[in-house]
This record gives sequence, C-alpha cells and structure tokens, in this order.
Amino acid sequence: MIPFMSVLLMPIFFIALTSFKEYGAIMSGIMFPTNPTLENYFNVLYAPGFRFIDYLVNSIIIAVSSTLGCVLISFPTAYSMARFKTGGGTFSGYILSLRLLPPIIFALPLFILYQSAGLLDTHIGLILIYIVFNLPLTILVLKSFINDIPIELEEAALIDGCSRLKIMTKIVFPLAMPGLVAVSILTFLACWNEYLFALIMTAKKAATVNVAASLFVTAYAIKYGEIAASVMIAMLPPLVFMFLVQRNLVRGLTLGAVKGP
Amino acid sequence: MKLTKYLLIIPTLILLLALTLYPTAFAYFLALHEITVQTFRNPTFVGLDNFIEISFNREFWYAIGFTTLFAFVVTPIEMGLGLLISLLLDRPLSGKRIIITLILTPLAIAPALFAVMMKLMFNEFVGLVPYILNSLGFHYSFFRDFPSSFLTLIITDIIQWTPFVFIITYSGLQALPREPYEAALIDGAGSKEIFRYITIPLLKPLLLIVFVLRLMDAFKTFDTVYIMTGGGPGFSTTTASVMIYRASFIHGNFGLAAAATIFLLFIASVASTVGIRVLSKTGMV
Repeated sequence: MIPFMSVLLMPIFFIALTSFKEYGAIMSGIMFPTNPTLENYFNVLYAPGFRFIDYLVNSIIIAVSSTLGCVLISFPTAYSMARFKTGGGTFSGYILSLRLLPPIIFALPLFILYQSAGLLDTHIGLILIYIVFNLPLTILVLKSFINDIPIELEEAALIDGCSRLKIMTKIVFPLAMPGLVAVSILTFLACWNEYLFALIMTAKKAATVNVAASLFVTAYAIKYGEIAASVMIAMLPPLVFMFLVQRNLVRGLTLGAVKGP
Repeated sequence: MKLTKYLLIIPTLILLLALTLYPTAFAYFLALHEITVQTFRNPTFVGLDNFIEISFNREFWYAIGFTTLFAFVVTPIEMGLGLLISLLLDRPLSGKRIIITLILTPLAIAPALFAVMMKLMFNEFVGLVPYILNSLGFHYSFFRDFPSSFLTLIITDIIQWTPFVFIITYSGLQALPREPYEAALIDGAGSKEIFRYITIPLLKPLLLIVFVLRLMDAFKTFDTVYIMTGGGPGFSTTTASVMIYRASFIHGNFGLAAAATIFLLFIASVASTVGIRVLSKTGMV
C-alpha cells in the first residue's frame, strides 16, 4: 500500500513544498524548504497586473451558477424519464453519448456561434455550456435516485388528489435530497475543474482560475514558486468538496449505474 | 399527464438543441466552406474540398492513431492498478477511511492543474523526478524526445485516474455477496481460483462500465497534453483534441478544422455506440 500511496500523493506533496520555498531554494534544488515563506502566495494574490482574485471570483460565480442551473433543469427531466420513460432509449442514449463524445467536437462551432451572439468572454456564456455538458451526469444520476423512491408514495398522493407538480416538489424533491446534494457537488467539481471551454471561450473578463494558473506557466515560465502557489489555491475548493461527496461518489462517477457501499 | 411528461423535459430539450444539435449542424456548414479568420465574413462554398483534404492529412490520422494508442495503453494499466489497490484494501484495516480519502485526492484536482504539477515534477531544473534520477547517477531531461514525453503523459494519466478505477471496483468488491465465497472455501478452492472464478465474473459488469468510461475519457484527453507537451516535440504527442484545437484556434483554418471535427464525430460516435451497447447490457441506460 505504502508505495502506491506515496506515488499517488507525491505530486501534491511536491507542489505544496515548492509553494512555500523561496526563489533561491527552488533554483538550487533544495527539496525541503529551510525558510518556509508565504511570499509566493502573496505574490500570486496581490501581484500588480495579475488579477488572480478576480479569476477566483469568476470560478466561484461560474461553478455555483452552473451547478444550480444544471440541477434545476435536470431534476424535472430526470423525474419525467424515471416515471414516464419519456423519450425512451433514444433520448437517454443521446444524453449518455454526450458524456462519451469528446467535447472538442462542439468547440469550434460553439466558438463561432458565441462570437456572433456576443457571448464570448461572458459569465453567462460559459455557464450555459457547463450546464449543457453536465446534464448527462445530473440527469442520469438523479434518474437512478428517483427510481429508488417507492412509487406507492406517489400513487397514494395522487389518490388523495395531489397534483403532479405538488408530488414532484413536496414528495420526490425532499426524498431525492441525498441525490441532489451528490450531483450538485459533482457538478461543482466538474465545472471548477473544466479547462477546454474555459480556455476557448474566455479571455480577460470571465477567465477561470484554471486558465489563469495554466497561463502562469507559459507567461512566467521561471516563477516556479508562484506557479505552485497558484495551483495550490486553485485546487483547494474542489479538494474540500470532494471529501463531502465521498459517500455518493461512486454512484456519480458511474452515472448512477452502481450504487456504491 | 401526457402533456406534463413532455413539459418537464422542455428546458433540457431547448438547451440540447441550441448548444449541441445546432452547433453540430453548423459544423457541417463550416466544413463545406473555405473559411478562415480572415475570410470570416464571406465564406466561399467549396463542396467537399475540406473533407478530401482531411482524408489525406497525415497529421489528423496520426493524431487519431496516437490518441487511440494512448487510450489503449493507459486504460488497462489503470484498471490493473485500481483493481489491485482495491483488492489490497478489501479487508479490515485500521485507518482505512483515511487511506481511501488520500487515494482519492488526485480525482478532485483539475486535470489542467495536475498537468501543471506534473510538468514541474519532471522539470529538468527544479523537478523531483530528475532530482532523484540525478542522485542515482542518471542524467536525463524529459520532454526532449517522443518516448520521454509519451512516458510523462502516461504516468500523469495513471496517477490521476487510477483512483477512479479504484473507488468503483472497491465499492463493487464491498457489495459482492458472501455466499459464493463460503461455498468455494468449503469446496477447497484456493485464493487464486476464487479470484479467477468468483470475483472476476461477479465484477464483470462493473469492470465493463469502468473500461468504457475510462477508454472514452482517455480518448478525449486535451488538458494534460496541451499543458505538458503542447503536442510535441514536433507533432509526436498530439491528440485528436489538441490537433483540432490548434487547427481552429491557432491556425484559424475554420473550414478544415470543422471537417476534422466531423470526422472525429463519426469516429467517436462509432466508439460510443459500441460503448453504449456494452453499457446497456449492464443496465445503465
């Protein structure tokens, strides 16, 4: 176990160490920092001309709105598909294929359409893309959670004269809460970690923290300490969220196919 | 009620139409025209020229081949390692929760950021790997030639995605029924036979799901390659995604890139249809 774990965690450990090292220590190849410093973090966050905090804010706005939008749109769809088999195999097959196809297929046409629609480098533009490309995950996983809710509850409510809308909001929604929480966190992770569309569709105003951190590598190739610090800051939120979702992680990763322990 | 069930999926339908189907149709339009960043306003119709050019484009087919090779190299290794780790952990162990949490950390990190980390790890001046090799007496700089670039990409992908295989196979192992094992033990089966004839068959649907998802995801690889090697040296580690990205956004040859996009769509659709066939046998769709 130990060799596996050390290899898996080595990059993170190394980056964490590097982020606390002074410039001289990094360049002279000293592995453990003798004078740990927060200088790199300070430089990343407050360096003039490098608006890292703005990018952090962008990431938060985009990931949170995409997650909310995605869950709100997919819940009714998942309910309809779970209870009425709406669209049958074709519809769910199309949704699943969106999860399997390489997103680059949509990159160029979307870019040109976005350009003519004035959606390039806007929050809403990226949010719309993130909603669409996370729909497969949220719909399929929510569908599997809704399938687990006994249908008798709804039938009883129907007999008592409850409307479909009320059944959905008052009975199914609360019962599917664990599923909703799980997909929300997974969608948040996916949006926060997305790179391709963020790179293509944003430039200055709406760039996310991943794009900023990766541009750091090309623009300031020699500032290894700052690069390490920006990576540390950018990966912190998803790490925290990951620990929250562990219980339903497997179900999310397999799009609802596997229940998990 | 008949109406309700369709009303409920309308928002999803609109989004899918606007942001996936319409762009796909638009890609066909682009591919039939000579259109670049300069001639953006008035494209000229050129028929199938772009498709013909892509059919004979060495770089495109090399990229498709390289991506396929990459996917088929990393997926089996990740499945083997992931399964091995989950077998090692499938027993009472103190501190198991913490171990699992630690193993899962690479999964939470953005592939783009992970690529930045790994690029530093292999950096010849400040990286840990050259440092260790140096102290062992080897002097080696990565990213100079194809084998070392390919190797760093493989290692990066394995470290990032083995946890994905692990957590799924691990929870599969936890959920296996106990009876077949007890029966096999009574019949005097050894641990090798039990693994070969009980564990593997019972896990098969799960392994298929992991295999299809991992293979398709490896085929999409963009972030890791774009950041770590940029597709180089030369063209040697360019994946299909990186190739189309370059043609579209660096060279600005929209028509040609759209034709490549459509070829990739066909290839990936065939693969994902096979994938969905396999997955539907496991009851996923």
